[in-house]
Amino acid sequence: MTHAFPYDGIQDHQNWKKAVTLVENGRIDPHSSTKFKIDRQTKVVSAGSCFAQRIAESLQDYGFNYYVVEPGPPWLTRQQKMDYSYGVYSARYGNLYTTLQLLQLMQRATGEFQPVDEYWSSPEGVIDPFRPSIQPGGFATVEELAADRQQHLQSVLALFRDLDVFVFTLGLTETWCSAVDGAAFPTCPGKRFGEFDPDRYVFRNLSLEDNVACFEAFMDMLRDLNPDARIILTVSPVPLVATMEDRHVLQSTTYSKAVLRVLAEDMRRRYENVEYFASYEIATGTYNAQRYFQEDKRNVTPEAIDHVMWSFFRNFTDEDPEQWVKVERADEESEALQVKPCDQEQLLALIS
Amino acid sequence: MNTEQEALAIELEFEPQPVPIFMLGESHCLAFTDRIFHEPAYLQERFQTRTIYLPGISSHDFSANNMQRVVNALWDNVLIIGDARGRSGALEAAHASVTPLRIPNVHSKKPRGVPILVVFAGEIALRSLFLRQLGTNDFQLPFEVPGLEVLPMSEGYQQVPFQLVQQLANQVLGPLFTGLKSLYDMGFTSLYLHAVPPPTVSDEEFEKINGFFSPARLRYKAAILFNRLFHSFAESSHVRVIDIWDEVTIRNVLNPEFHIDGTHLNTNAVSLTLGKLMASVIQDERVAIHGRYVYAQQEAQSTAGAELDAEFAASGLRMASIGAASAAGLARGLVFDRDTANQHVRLDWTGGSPRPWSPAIRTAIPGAEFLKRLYDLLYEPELSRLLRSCTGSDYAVLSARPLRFGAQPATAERLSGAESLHTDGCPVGVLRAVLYLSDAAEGLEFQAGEELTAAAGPAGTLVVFDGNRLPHRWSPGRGKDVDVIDLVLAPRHCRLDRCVIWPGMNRWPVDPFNFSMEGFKSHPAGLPFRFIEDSAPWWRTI
Repeated sequence: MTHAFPYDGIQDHQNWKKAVTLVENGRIDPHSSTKFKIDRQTKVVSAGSCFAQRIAESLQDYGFNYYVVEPGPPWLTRQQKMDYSYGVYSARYGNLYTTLQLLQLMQRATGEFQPVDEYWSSPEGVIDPFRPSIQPGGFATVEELAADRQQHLQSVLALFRDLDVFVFTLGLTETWCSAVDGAAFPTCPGKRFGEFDPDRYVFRNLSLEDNVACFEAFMDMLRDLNPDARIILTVSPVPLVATMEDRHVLQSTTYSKAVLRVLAEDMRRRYENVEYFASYEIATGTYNAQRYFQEDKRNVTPEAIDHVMWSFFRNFTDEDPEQWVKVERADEESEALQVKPCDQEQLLALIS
Repeated sequence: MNTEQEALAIELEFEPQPVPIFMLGESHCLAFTDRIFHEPAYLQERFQTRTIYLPGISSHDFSANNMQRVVNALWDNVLIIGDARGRSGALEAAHASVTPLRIPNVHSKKPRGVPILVVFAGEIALRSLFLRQLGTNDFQLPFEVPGLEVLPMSEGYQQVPFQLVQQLANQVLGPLFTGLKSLYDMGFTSLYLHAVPPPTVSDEEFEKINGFFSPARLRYKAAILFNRLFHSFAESSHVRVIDIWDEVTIRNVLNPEFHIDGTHLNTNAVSLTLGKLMASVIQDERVAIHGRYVYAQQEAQSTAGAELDAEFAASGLRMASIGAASAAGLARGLVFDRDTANQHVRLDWTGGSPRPWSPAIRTAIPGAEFLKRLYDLLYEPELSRLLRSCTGSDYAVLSARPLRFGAQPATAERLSGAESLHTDGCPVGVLRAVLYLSDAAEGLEFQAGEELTAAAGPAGTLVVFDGNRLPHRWSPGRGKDVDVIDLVLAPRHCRLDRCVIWPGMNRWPVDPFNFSMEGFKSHPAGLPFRFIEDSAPWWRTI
């Protein structure tokens, strides 16, 4: 008895030639099907690394229900909102580069974790160690920070309770933590923010096992709060700005992205309500010969974002993104926005 | 007209004209309507507050494009005028006008310096703009304000970063600050902004009056923030703030003794405001009227101009000597028995505060003989030629003050004021000079670039310098007193006579065309300048 050759029956998207070689670069879509869809009523929440900001912007630009629990006061201009991180993400949590940060955010919101590092000092103001760039110059006083944090964490809790879809962009495995209680920070203390003390702060490079454990713990907590929540995981295509491992930054980038990509795959397979969105593949695929990266070979171009979001909407909605036009936002300003650099960008500026 | 009735013989008794104080703006100024008071200790003047009430005026009414209401109000009170010949043109402060007809003011020969103007604005903006915008947003003040915790605060208010709230407040107040600055630049240099009064503590009362709800604690924080911004503005501008918050509150909450209607302070607060205003008027630096000094210099140079001395033009410094014998003659009879407290504080002269600068410096009241002798020396042809070449015109000696710098131990630290490096802020064209009556081993020191140069010299040395250009200081005598005459030389415009004036511890008149001499001494005696006669056509006098 002869058996059919297994590859004879593969579909077009499984075939490089048909899915990549013969497809126009800007229309390559590395997906087949998705576990769920969103519509314009779905409360979509996003968090993660800098790349997640672009997703948030696109969702708002195309009139989706990007769910924001800390929208800021109504009198703010769009630039002020950007500067003070209102609407940059669904809440003012800033960049969450690692799964450990995400887990600890949830734990802080539910009151299960109260880090020892309450604030860092800087010449400009009082810094929230967990949101160092959340507003220019930090907070005016420790009391103001405490009041804002309390409000923020309450909002985060409400966010996790109410969201329909949570888009999380996995960014890094390298992180700095408190040696006292393990609290993970989005940036290394020192120079602009706080003071570096090797006895107080330690470097960690989260392994696959660490990441899996963190994400599982997060999923458990989210399920308790919001059993219907669905999660879309993405991996940021943006390389590390610097590595603390004694090796080339490219090696560290590859390791980090590989771990995160495996994590995403693992979670997608294990959880019915978790899906993976291949933004990483769109931006880094060999087909575009790095054309989706800017001159610094690190940040992605607007064309890359357009391609990614086209694919996102194509796969996660039942609408045809080709027909869409950007909606006019209430806080639209004629002048170009000065986009705030994320924590990793700021680290770049601090490295001599 | 009834010609049958016998005409009544009416006798009129005129009171001295009080000095007006203009209270302009929101309804908070109404409590000051026609208040007449006397300040007996320092200025010894009677004052009258004149209310210029502009209903509903808010911050934006002071914006550059929208200041018409304020300008009209000032125009109506002849504080602002246009072109004197009736042509349309730029508006100017009446007291600073250089149109000949208005020099001096023919309507009142009483010199009053720059009119005092107190602006009440910002409180309506606080309620109707700022608090409305804040809505259900709250903020934390970045400084401690004890007492606010007793005020009610509602649930569910969102915390907003203080910086953003401050930006909003600055946005609301920006037009007011811009407008005040433009008034100051126009010449209203005795300009005050009245602080926002403490709001009512009753939420119900506030809501009834304003038609919207805002909790008391938020209202108070907003008012305190506004007053902070007023003070910050004052620090960065020359506009001053009258703030009676501490006097009308108990632990920062409105003292019920001052409550009247939920918005205003009652009349008990009037004397508090006026007390603070007078304290500032008496103690704080008065600014000479720039435009009139510019005009005086132009007049002086066009009618009695002199070629500038090249050395002085280059360095801002020139030294000469009247000789030791002449110096000794001047010093004879001077009794340095008084401290440097200004006992002649007045609105039409700039000068020191009523508190002495330093116990180490003494002054003397010169006699008529001293002033005559000094006059003869300073207008002696050769010295006069030198001084004319420094001022660029003929000159008047607007201030001649004998000073004794007490001997200091060699290790003594320098005092602030005269003994620290400073420039003088003299009006345009005004020069400083110091005549040593005794030997000065160090004397004045001048800073040119990085270098400090001592203008030492024996008795009789005259040091003429540009006090605005050259940072300078006095080096106290070590082990020996040094006596000097501190001189102010001003360009002599065509209505000013040659003169030497002793104006107590004052420095120069606010207006070179109109100042009083009451309590002062001069040679020749009496007013050194001529008014325009009320009946005289203005063109005959220029």
